[in-house]
Amino acid sequence: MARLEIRDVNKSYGPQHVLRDAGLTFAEGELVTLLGPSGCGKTTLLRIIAGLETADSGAVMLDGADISAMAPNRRNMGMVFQAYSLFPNMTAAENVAFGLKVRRTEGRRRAARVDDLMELVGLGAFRHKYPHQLSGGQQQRVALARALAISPSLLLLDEPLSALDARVRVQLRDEIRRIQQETGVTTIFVTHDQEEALSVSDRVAVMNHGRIDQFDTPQAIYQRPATAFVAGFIGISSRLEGHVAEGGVVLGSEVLPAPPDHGMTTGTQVTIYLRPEDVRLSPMVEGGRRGTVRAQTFMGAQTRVSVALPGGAEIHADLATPEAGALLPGTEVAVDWNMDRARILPRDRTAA
Amino acid sequence: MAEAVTQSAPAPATRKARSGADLASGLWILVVAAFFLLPLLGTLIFSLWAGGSHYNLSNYTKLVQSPKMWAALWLSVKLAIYTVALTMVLLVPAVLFIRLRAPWLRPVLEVISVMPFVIPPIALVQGLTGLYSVPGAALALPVWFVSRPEFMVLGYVILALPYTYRALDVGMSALDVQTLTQAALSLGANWGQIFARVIVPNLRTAILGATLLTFAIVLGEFVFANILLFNTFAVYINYIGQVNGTGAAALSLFSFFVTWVGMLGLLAGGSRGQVRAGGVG
Repeated sequence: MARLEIRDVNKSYGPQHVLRDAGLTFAEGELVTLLGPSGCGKTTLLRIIAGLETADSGAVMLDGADISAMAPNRRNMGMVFQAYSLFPNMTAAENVAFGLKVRRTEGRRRAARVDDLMELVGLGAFRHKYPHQLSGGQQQRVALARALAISPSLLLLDEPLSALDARVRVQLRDEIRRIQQETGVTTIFVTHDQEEALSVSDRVAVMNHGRIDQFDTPQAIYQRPATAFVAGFIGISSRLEGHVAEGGVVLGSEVLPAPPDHGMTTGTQVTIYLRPEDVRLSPMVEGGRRGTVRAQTFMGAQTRVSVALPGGAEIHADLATPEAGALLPGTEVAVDWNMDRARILPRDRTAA
Repeated sequence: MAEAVTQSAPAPATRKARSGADLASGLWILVVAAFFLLPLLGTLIFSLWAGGSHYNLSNYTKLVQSPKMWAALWLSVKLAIYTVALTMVLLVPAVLFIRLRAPWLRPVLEVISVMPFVIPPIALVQGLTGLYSVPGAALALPVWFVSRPEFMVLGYVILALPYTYRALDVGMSALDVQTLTQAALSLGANWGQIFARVIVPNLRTAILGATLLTFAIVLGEFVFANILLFNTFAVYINYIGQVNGTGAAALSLFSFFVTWVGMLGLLAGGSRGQVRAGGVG
């Protein structure tokens, strides 16, 4: 187990600046997710940690030692790739044994370790199958066992689930978390799926255009997104534009109470972010905030209702599907939310 | 035939149409087979002819008992083995590194690889001589090497390039070499181990294909050896052809037989334990 620190890493491909002063410190035994849209630099950062790419500047520190110049085959980091990466000429067990073989681990110990790991990933019976005889999910399990076999200082997972279908993805995601907790290996997981990131991580680093926008626990990321980008990416879909005034935030003609510690000066242009589950819709009453239902999106147990506010802003509410049944497009409703659960951030003109 | 068994009672019209198609394709196969087999049959009959109306195996017994024939054949086989070895040592890493590090060089290598189709062997051998074996030439090699038949291996590697490069390139495109080498690197393997345990075993079929074609080319190559005055198998066939017509026919069939046995042997060895890349999804 190891402590990893990334210091101000920069990387460009030609004119494209892929990583800008990326810095992160990982605790021993934690699972950290690098989350962001494609092209945000998350995979590049992982590959720099693995030694498969070199940073233009900055350092990768492992247990206090700078390993930036160390060859990838000397770093002792297990890696699982997005593409199926099992060696097609070897059986599942031979794949798992590969890292031990190149380390010249003695035969009996090697066999025992391979058996343990095949059991750990639940594929004890598939030892002698070749990769082409295994499903995608099974192949990624073997790849995970192979990466763990070398008792790596770090486990690096580069979107290992994105080639799998939805059901297998969720199952394997939970299994990765279980195995990570059982083995206690410090793990870095790269994904573009915010649900995946929030559900398995100890901490999440949200990346945007090569920068790390926020590095915190999933709960904190969801409840207190640090930037407009994080708020948007994490699925907080409703935005209302206003400005800070004495005693609150001015939104159209009303003044909403704001938490006293927001620290923004009067007059600052702000965006209020609302999570769809925090928005309440009720039958229109006198004095209520009026909205008009614009559309419904059925999501199974829940239905997302889009409501237009008089100012033109659109707000989304997730309702239990039976409740949403009556709210057909065109219906007038009263819209309400708890300001304590809203997130107020200075307006970011660059955010989409 | 198989269709008639598996399909239950096709309508008479379809059956008629099918038997018509069967007849046509059967005829076509017959024509093609005749095109390839008749010359062989003619050669066989001619090789057995012993003058007048006598036919016997004397040409073959003479052939098998001729030490000159065996020496020439052995020389060609040896050259083929060297050619394969040099090709693999040069080409497998080159094709791999172009895929991993310099994909923009691929079109260049592709053009180079088809050069032997454009440049006739006679020009190639002259160029080779001018470059390597004329004293004082730019890349003059030591005389002891240039005067040996092994010198021709340099040219043979180039002659075989259109086939060897293509076989290896196709073999490698069936593999995700990028991910496989990175996976092996992350597991601690060095480049030697990556070649020996990951790349070469997965290119087995491609390497066998390239080997087969190289053997066929080197065994049949005449121009190089004839100009440089080495007595290879092809040169020997030509010599026999000039002094003994029926003997040459027997020798041609013999070489045909040798090549085929070699190919079938390699194919049998290659298809056993063949590996497939990718997964079932």
